[in-house]
Amino acid sequence: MKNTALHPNDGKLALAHIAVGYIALFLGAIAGLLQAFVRSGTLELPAGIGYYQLLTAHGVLLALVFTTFFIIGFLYASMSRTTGDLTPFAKKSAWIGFWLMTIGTAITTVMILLNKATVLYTFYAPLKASPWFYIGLTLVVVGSWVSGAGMFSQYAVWKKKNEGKPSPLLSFMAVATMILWIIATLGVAVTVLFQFIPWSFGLVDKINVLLSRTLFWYFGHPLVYFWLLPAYMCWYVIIPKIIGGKIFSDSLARLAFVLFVLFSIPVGFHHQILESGITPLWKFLQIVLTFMVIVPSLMTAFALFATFEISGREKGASGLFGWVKKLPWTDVRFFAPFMGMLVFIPGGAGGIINASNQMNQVVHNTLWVTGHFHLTVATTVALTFFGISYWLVPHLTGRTLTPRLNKLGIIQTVFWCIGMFLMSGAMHTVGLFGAPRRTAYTTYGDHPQALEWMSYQTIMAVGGAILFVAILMILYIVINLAVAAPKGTEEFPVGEVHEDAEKTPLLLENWKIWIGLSVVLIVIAYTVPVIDIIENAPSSPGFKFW
Amino acid sequence: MHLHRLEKVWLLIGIGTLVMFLTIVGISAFAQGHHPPSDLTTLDPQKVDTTEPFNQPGLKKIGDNEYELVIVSQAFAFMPNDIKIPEGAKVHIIVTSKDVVHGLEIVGTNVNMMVTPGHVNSLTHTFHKPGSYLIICNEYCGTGHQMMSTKIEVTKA
Amino acid sequence: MAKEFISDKKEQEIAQKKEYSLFGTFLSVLMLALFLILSWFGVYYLFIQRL
Repeated sequence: MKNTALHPNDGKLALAHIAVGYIALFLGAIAGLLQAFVRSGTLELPAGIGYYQLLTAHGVLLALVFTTFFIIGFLYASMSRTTGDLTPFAKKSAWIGFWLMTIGTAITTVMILLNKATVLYTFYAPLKASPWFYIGLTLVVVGSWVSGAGMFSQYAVWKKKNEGKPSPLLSFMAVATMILWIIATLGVAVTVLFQFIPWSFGLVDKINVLLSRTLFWYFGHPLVYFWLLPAYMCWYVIIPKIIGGKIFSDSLARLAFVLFVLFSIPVGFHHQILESGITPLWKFLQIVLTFMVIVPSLMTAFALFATFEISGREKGASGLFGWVKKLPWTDVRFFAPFMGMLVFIPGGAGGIINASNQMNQVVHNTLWVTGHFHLTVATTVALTFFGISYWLVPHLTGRTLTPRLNKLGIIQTVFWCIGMFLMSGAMHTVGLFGAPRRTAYTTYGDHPQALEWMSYQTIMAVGGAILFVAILMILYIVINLAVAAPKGTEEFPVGEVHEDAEKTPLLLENWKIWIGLSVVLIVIAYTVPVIDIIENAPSSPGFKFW
Repeated sequence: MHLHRLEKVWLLIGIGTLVMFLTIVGISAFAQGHHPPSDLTTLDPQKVDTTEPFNQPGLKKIGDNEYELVIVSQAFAFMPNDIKIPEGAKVHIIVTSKDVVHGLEIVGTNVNMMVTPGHVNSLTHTFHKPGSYLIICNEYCGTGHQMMSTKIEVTKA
Repeated sequence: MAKEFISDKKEQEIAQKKEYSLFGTFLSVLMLALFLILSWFGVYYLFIQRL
């Protein structure tokens, strides 16, 4: 495998995606900073801007735009690195996808800024936004499908040329991630195209609220795995190379990804545990399936620790934990994703609690949940994406990560962790006291229960301010790596499989089986309740309460 | 597929833990009746005011220290407003929405449910301790969402 | 004969490599499980308290 820079055209493509991603990160972070200050009661927004408008922008720009653009850029770079220069078809698809997504993002953002879509990023009906908000989102999703088609064709071309061989691990994982994404987004596409758009244009008067929520959450949970899987790609394949070790097991890594494709979709009801119109039995069935999707993460935890331990022992570490000292703590390409892994432990623990059926009553729609996904997506995933950027951006621009930028990256990571410890820690705690999420500053008429929350909301603002400083640092580093760092060659690290590892069974690459099984699970988990919802759930007219 | 011996043990422990969690919540839900709120009753969301029991929101005594509390939520208030009940009262809460999706949470209790228009949701709670309980909307419902609240005063018996 | 010996030795080497102790890994994931269990029961206790 070559380790020179990617073909310049492929590099440009990946860079374009990453650039839009970081612009979204910057705008979303500004919204986040303002929210934290409003919520603590220290800031009143200047005339015209609403708290919930900022919150909508924050959610859309960070959870949907930053992630999707960065991921597609990273996946294309990985495809090009491991399966060779992109074919003309793949390249064309990727660019069409990029422009569709960019135009969609622009339309959606403008609608939010015009205050025509203050419906938050989950856009729950019957709050009715401008149709252009939904059309913008549709373009983002359709664009990502076109991009996905490009990756699939690139993969198919490689497979044809290398019959009987397992595909490179990174390309396999990229394909798994896009398969997951496409199956998941079908749900949100159906609700947006057949429910929201006709309804917001006034072609129909009413919308089946429960159906729209169910289709949204059919998409909403695999969405979080769409964020997580690229981070797992970095952990499984890239980190071993950076620490000077080997991939623990190629087959187990592929198996984990296959399990995610199977079990991350038929689980959306665990976001609707406290909702009317769905029977407890069907909720519980999906909760059992939700717990199945924890298993590949348990496998991942073992594989990662084992990678660290084996590489440490090969470097002469002794004792139970001597290998910890052999890890490259001063290399930000390792340190940032590693902190992401560590934070995934409390993140995962919180996730299991959220999904535990009636225990959801303790935490649902409280700040606990906000604290939870600021650990998972906003720390585990974000720090890993930053960790990728430190080498991917200079690799693509023909520059190098200098010791100074590396050090700044380490400080950035530490700032991020401290800021998030304060913000997310306070959110988790005050959430258990009952403080609601997605709520502007209020003391509820100085009610004693609400007054107890105030000091925590101040800690949240302090944490948020530290996080914003960290955002400015990462932007400084990324811009530097893109345009100013010294010219040179930065490695695109791709780990190799340990020589003792067994051969990868080709069954794992049989997508027909896995997609088929995934569809079967979805049909089992959703058919009966969805038919019931279509037949029985009443429809509602729309409202604009902002 | 080959698994390291310790990884097998780990997966057994891990999966065992998950099975334990599911068993505990499963028994609590299906054997002891602690299901999450999952009311299947529906109504026309535009006719809430004329549909029983929501035509008369409020507290109704239905037994020995047992009450039915009918709540109508709409942007940005709950009906009825201030509610008083005696300590130890068992309250069946029944709620619906006249407009968008709301959430009904009684702070410091397990009462937490989604209120979707066209649907009724319900939960039963016994108020063991006296004091003032804040009821809030915990699902974004519009610019006045943070104002949407009321109180339950649980008085000493 | 000689050839067999070499491959035997190679297999032995591989076998030795596979003997890498993963007890550090095992203890690490056990601590992870302990954290999951403690935090889960913490919130479960809260649920029971609030019944």
